[in-house]
Amino acid sequence: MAPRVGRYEPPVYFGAPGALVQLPWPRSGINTPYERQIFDFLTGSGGHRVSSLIGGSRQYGVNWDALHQTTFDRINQYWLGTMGPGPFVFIDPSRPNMLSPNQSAASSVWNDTTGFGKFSDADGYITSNSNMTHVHRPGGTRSIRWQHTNSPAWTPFPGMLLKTEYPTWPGIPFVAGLPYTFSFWVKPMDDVGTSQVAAKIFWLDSTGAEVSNTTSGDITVTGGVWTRLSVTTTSAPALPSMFMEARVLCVASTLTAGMSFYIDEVMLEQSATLNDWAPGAGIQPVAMTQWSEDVPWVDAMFRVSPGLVLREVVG
Amino acid sequence: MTALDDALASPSPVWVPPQLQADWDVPRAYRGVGTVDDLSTQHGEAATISHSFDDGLPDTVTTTSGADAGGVLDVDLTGRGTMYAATIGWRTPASGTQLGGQATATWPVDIATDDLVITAFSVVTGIIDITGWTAPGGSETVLIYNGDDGAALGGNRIIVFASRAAPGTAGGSFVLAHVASNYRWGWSTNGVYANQGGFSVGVKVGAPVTVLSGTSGTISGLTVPFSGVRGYVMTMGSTRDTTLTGTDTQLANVLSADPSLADVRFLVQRTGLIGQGSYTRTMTKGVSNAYSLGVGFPLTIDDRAPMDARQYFSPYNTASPVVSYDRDLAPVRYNFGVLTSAGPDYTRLFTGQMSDVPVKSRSASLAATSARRLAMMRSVKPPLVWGAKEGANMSWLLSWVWYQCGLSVSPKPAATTRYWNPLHGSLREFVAGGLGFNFTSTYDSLGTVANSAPQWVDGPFLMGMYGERSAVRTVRSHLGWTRSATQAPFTRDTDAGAPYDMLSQANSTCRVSMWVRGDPYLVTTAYTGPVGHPVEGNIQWNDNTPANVRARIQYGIRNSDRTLFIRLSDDTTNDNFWFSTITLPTDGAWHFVSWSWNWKAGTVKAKMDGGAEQSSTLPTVDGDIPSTDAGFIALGFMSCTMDFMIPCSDIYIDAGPNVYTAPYVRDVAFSADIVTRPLDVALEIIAEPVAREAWGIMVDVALASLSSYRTDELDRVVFAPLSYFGEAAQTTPQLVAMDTESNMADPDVLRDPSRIRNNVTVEFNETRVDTGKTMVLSYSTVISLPASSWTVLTFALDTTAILDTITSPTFTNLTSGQVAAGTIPAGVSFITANTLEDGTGTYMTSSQVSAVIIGADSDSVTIQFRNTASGRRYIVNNGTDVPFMGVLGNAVVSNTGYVTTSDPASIAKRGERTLSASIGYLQRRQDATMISGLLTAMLCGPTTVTDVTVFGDPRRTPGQVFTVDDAQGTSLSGLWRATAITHNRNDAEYTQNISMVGTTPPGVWDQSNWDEVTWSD
Repeated sequence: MAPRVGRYEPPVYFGAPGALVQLPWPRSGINTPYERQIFDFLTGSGGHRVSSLIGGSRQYGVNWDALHQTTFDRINQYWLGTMGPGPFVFIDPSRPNMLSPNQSAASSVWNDTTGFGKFSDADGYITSNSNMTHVHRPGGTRSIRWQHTNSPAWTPFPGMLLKTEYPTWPGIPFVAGLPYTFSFWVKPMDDVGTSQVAAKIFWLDSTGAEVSNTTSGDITVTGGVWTRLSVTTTSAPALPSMFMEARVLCVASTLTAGMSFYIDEVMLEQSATLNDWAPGAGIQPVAMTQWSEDVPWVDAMFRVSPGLVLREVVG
Repeated sequence: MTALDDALASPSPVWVPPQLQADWDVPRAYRGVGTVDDLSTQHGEAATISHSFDDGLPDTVTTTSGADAGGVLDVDLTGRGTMYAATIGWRTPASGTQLGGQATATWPVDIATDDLVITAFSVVTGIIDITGWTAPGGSETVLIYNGDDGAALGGNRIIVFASRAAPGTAGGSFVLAHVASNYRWGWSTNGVYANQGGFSVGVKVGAPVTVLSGTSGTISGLTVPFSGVRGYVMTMGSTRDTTLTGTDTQLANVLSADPSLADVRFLVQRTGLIGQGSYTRTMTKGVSNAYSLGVGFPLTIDDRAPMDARQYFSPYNTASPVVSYDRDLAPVRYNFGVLTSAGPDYTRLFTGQMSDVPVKSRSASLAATSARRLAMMRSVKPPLVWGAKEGANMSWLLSWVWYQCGLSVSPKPAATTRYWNPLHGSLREFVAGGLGFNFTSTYDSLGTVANSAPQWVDGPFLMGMYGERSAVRTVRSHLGWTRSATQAPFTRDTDAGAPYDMLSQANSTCRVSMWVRGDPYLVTTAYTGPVGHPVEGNIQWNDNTPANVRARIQYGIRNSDRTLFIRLSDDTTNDNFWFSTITLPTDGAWHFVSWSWNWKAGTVKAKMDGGAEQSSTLPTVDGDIPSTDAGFIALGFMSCTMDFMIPCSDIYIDAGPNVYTAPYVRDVAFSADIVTRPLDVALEIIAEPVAREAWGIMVDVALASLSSYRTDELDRVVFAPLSYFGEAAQTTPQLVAMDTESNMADPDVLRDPSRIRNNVTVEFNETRVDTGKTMVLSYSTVISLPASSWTVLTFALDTTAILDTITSPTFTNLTSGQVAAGTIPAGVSFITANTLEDGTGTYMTSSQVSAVIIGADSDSVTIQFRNTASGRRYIVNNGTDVPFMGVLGNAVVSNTGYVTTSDPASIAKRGERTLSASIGYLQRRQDATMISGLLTAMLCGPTTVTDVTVFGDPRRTPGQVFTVDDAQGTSLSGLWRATAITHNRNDAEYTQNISMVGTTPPGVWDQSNWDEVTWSD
């Protein structure tokens, strides 16, 4: 694997899932701090204790040097309310991992399986593993343990899914026509032979119903050996697909009762290539909190230094 | 060390979102995660939770001024965007078969709370009546289909219910009642039911649509105001084909049978786990009859239009789902979340009741207070209790007051309990159920006191009644009850929920349960005194010849070998004992013991703690017991006695056909609503003239016993006397020290001299009850009684008094000679009844005009007059020295008493600083002296108090002791007890403001100096 290749002036996208508008790369850059609430307690002797909230929220400061009025109005229509109250979605394709912090770091944030789910009760047990011999990420403390007990009986393809954080969305909004890669490291427990696992991306409509999916195929993985699985695909057409969801499936006929898979370094990226793992901060809906409009004296068909400020909001 | 300990010891902990639940009064079908009763996702930036003790001291010297002992919560609320998803999938289906009779379907064994459970019945023949059904655990249930399953499937009947699973209903039985025995249920594969295969229930999940639009809709019978609620259309169906596959076609058969059911809709959260399609679960085929299928899956509701805080919580916005809900009733819980190595860990910071949801500008907040505090706003009037005869420890008064407010220190009585006496400091029962014992006595061989006051010890829950039989002393307490036709009518206290007879053809099944202490018992002593068993009870009926026992149940613990026994006897031909092998140990510990019997069946059994034994049948004769208890008494008298010569507590007598096999009170899950300890202060008499607020009574008792009180994080009432704070658990620092080096900001330290009082005068109501009876009402106003009438009148007594309303309720009629001579018979209440209004007529006998006391309290008496004559009669006389009516009673004499104590050393140093404290609940001089002395000791020096702000730790609670250190600043150090804690949460900030008072380590007998430690009992 090679380092990520450069991305020069890629467009960004804004709007409602399934109805995104393309905007030119902001020449003055994007300020995107992932803000966590921090409290600094000062003790009587001058020491400090710092507490923080487990979650965070990103604020996007999107700044252009200038926009033609046509482009400006693509954004302005949302600010004026003519596209409804929102919230909307802002997609910056340079974001390396679209999964939530806890998903991307395989439960290392919450120390539990927040963000992970199963297809059915028969699909085993998903827990947070703290045995560092089963963690792939250097320095990492946790991985996902997916145990299969065959009680109740397995479904043919037990499945684990990565749920979106925002409950109104059945999946993560995507930009039609762009390539996406879903990857993770997986290791069956040491004392089993081989099993088959697949990485899949499901394309969902507005209700969460599956439209189609793309799979890596059933890949054979060996007990005690970390294997990286990935699937790369160009996204489905915009409609009826509006969302995507990454899932891990295994082939029940290749499982041993009681065996576990360990999964780490989970990543869903807008990329045509498989890159090194990076932490994710999730794709959250955003609300517009600021939008400026300055008309230059030379050409009234332009707006100079328009600045858009967006805040990720909760469900 | 737990994961939480580790997390909170970190200098950089991470907080996870708190949990905030408000149980709005809505059906279960609309509860659960993501519904209106879970406000966790609507928690705003800030929350403030305060808990504090009130130390019960007079206002001028309290260290807890401003304390709200009720606990309060105030949390910011945001609006609502949408619902949270929940996992949706199938539980393990269950099925069964049955022919005829009442039908029962078993629910899946893995049903979880709030699951949607589908229960289906299929009927082959007959017309059934489904007007009654019972879902497990009272789960809210709606009938969603009852009709033909379609011509294509044979036109048989299918009945389908949908339930919202209540807690603890996994594997429960859904019972369809009112089914006659000749009805046949189920699908058959043979005989006349040939060609009928398996039976499936299907759920068809359709496209998401707006299922509630406009301003209101109906969910499970609840009309809710809503706008644009979306959900999946789910339709139910069945199939009985041989392929056992539910298809849309087969599902449609149900719909075609009743097209209106096309609108049966459940609101299901959108999730990737379930989409459009048909989902079926099939019963096992191959049995002769199969009738039921229980399946279930979690269910939450779908998204809806977002609202901000003012829109969502406005009481005028009919589009809000909570617009119609009361904002002062819902139970509220608040859990603080900490990220640990085991995942999020939550600590309860508040339990209580919503008090308001105010909307201010664009924000809203939720205010809540203690539900127990609100419950204790009830007005109560304690019964008249004579301390010297029955005992009147203040713990009993509190226990009784709490019970009247729905709170309990010990296990509450069952619906079948006819008598419950906790013995928490008095012989007076809490539940009489027609069995109120009308005579009690305690024998104490020390000084050969035949009728001493009962004595009290620490009990299994609060207090217990003492008993002893040793080489040096016998203490026996006796409870007795008798009823006959000539005495007060035998009635059951139906308010106590005791609808069953005790010993009659109507019911002869009873159970007596109690806790006893395994004290030694000496059968033979060197002196005379009461003999018998350590515990012995009798319930018996005598006919008109007192010596002629017709039926007797005797139970107890045998003196010779401490085994539990029961005797069923008619005192003639059938007189049989059963001795179990259950033996009360001599270990000084409290044990639960119980005896159960069924006279008609002749069965008996006994239980101690976890073990039980049952006898073979003891022969009895049904004819020995009459048709009803009331009939019993009409024919003779019925009596019930109990004697104890070992300590006992919490006596329950249950009656009813099911009590023989009912769960024992010990085995029913119980969680005390109260945390308290026995008090050392007693009353001469409990005689509240009027009903008072229960909380006010508790506050007064706190002052009289120097106790502190509050409601805690679980909304239990904590009533803590001084001894409570001397216990090891309350004197040992439990958590990490508060130190300015690590977790504490600069403290506010106060060594407060303003509260110094070195000369304390306690004003109290010095009270006695005269043991000799005197005239407590001398009434000389004419009373007119209409002809052939019953007249009930209530009179205020001339003096506060105790009246014997059971053994001496009737009045003596004075004769003309007695009136003329001014001679009043000794020891009786009397009336003078005359034919003329001026008393110059003829005096009436008791057969003509009579009077009986039917009720009394300390300040009034209610008398029922009966005039059997055909003309008007009068309570009057023409004498000069005789009242028209006199009521005999034991007068209560109360005077204001004063006790003063002082501390000479403090006075010599600071001069005299006086505290005058009026404490109405102190009635005995020795108690007043003790309280005055304690107050002087507590107040003769400056009070050390400090207020600190510390980095938050949700485990801290008022009452805990902390090691405090400010080495670099004030040099504050030592042990301090928290009296109040305010939790401040604001985003990532979590601090606590703690008020503390200085304390000392626990004392060790024979080692510690008296004034350098904290002592417990």
